[in-house]
Amino acid sequence: MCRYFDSGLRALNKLSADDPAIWLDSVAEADPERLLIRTTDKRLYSYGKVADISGRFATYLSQCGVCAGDRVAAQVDKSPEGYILYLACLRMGAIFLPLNTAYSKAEMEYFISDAQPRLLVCRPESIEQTKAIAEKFNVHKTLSLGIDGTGTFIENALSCQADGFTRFSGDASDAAALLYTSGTTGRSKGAMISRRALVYCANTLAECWQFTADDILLHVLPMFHGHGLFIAGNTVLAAGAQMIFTNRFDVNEVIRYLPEATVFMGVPTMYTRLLKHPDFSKNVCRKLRLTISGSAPITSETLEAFRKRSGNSIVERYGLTETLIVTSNPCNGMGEPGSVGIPLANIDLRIADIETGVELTEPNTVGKIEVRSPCLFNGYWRNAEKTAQDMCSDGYFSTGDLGTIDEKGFLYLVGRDKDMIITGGYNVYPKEVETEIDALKNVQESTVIGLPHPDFGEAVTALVISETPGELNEASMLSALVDRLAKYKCPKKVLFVDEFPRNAMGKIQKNLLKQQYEKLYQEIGQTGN
Amino acid sequence: MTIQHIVLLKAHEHVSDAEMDALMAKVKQLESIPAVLEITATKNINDRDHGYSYGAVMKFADASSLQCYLEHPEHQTMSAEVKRVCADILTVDFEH
Repeated sequence: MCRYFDSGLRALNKLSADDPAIWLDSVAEADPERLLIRTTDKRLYSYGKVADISGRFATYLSQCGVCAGDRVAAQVDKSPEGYILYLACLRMGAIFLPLNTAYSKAEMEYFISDAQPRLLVCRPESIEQTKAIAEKFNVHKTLSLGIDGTGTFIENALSCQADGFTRFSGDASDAAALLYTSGTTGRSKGAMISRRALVYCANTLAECWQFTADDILLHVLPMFHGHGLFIAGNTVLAAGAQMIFTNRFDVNEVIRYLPEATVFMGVPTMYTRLLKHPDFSKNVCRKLRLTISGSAPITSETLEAFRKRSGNSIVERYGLTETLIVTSNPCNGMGEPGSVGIPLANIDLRIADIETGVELTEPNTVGKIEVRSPCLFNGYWRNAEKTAQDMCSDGYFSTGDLGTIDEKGFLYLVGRDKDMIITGGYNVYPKEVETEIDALKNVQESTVIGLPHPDFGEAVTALVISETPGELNEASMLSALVDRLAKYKCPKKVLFVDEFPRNAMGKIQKNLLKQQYEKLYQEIGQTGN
Repeated sequence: MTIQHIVLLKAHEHVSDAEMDALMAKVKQLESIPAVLEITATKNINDRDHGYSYGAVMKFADASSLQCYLEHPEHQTMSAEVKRVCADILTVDFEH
C-alpha cells in the first residue's frame, strides 16, 4: 500500500509539545521583516508584526480574565486581525471558537449556550444583538472586530504590551480550537482539536505538498472553517511562507491575484466558477505549482477542464473537521484520477462493513471509512455519548463516509452513510433542516435531500407534505426559515408532494427521491442562490 | 522589507510636456495591478536631472511582487509606450 512515510513521524517527534504559533515566533525572531499576510487593500503584515500584534492580543485576553482552557468565540469577517486573534489564543492557551458569520440568532444562542465562552468577539454592526445573546448566557465580555481592523477589541488590545501574558506551557494534547460540525440529530457538535493535531497536520502537509518559504498562497477561504484556518493558514506558518488574503471568494479578484500565487486552495464550487470566467488561462496560472481541492467531491469533468485551461492538475485530498487531513494525492502528478489519495504519514485507514463493522480487507469493497491518526480530535465538547458512538474501541474514528481502497492504497469516496449534504463546500445535515421545517405551521412532514447542482455541487432541497394542501407555499416557508437557519442550510427549492416513497419499515427512501429529482437544477435552470 | 522601484525617464526632444504628463497619469493607473502597493509618477523638480525630467517611484511588498509586476501584461504595454517616447530610461531598486 502506498503511504507517505517518513516526514510526519519526524514532525511529530520534533514538535509534539508545541503549537502552530511556535512557527510564527521562530520566523519572527529569525527574519521579522518576512511577509506573512498581504491584503487586497494593500496592507502588509510581516511575521514580526503579526507576532507583536498577537502578543498584544494575548495580553489583552489575559487582562479580560481569559485563562488557558477558556473559550474565546469569534463571529467576525475574515481579516488579518481575526486570524491573529486565533494565534493569540494559541499563544496564551485559550480555546479558539470560530463561528460562521452566516449563523442566525437562534443558532448563535445554541453555540454560546453550549460552548460557554469567556469572551465573545463579533462584527461591529452586530454588537447590540450579540451583547444580548452574551448577557443571556453569562458571557464575561463582548467586543467588536471589523473587517478593516477596527473595533473595540483592537482599540483596547493594541495599547497592551506584546509580552504581558504567560505563554501556554500545558500539554500538547489540550484543545486549541473548538469547531462546530453539523449534527445528525438536529444539533451541531463541537469538535475539540488539540494543539498536537494542528502541528502534526500542518507539518505533514507542508512536507507532502512540498511547501517552501518562497510559496505564496492565495487565501480565499473563510477562516471559521478548518480548511481556511488550519489546512491553509497553519501549513503556510509551518513553511514560513506568505498569504495573500481576500475577504471572500470573488472570481474577478481571484483572476487578478492568481498570477502572483504559487498555491491555491479551494472547494469545487470555486473551480467551476473560475472555469466559467473568460480570462481564466494558463497565463493567469503561470506561477501556480499546487492547486488543492477539498471539503466536497469534485467532478472528473471539472478536473479535466481545469487541467486543460490552466495547465495545472488539481490535487484532491480528504479530511473532516474531526480528523483534519487524512489522505492526499501526491503533488507530483502521480495521483489516481477519481481518488482522494493515499493516507498521510502515520495515519491508518480502513474500510469497515456497513452493517457489522468488521474490517474489509478485500480491495475495492465499499464500506465505512474509519481513521486512526495523530490528528484525531479529542472528542465532542461535553458530549461523551456522541464521542463514544463514533469512536471504535481500538482508536479508529468512524467518519460517516463510504468508500473503497484499491490495490495500491488509494482511497475513493462513494457516498455518505449519514445523508450529509455538501453544498458549496459547507456540510449540511438534513435532520437539522427537517427539524426546522417540521416546526412550521401546516407542515405534516418533510424530508431534505441533496441534489446535483452545477454550481454548488449539491443543493439542499426540501420535499414537504402539507397538512392542508394549498395552505403552504415555497416563498413563505423560505422566509420563515431565514431566521432559523444559516443561508447555506436553507433549501434552494421546496417541493410539495402528497406522499414519500417508504420501505417496509416506513423509512423514507431518500435514494428514490434523489433519483426522481436528479435533474431538477438542470431542468429549472439552476434556480437557487 | 519592501522594495522601492525607481524609474527615471529622459524624453525625446520632440515629445512635449503635455504628452509626458499624460504618460505619467497612465503610469499612475498601473497601481491597479495587485502586486503594486503604491505609485508616484510625476515631473522632476530638481535642476540637476541631466535631462531625466520625469520619473516614477513604485512600492512593492517584496521581490516576488516586483517580478509579477514586470511580467504583467499591462506593464508590458506601458513599457512599450514609454520606450517609444523616451530616449533613455534609468531603473534602480532599493530595499526599504
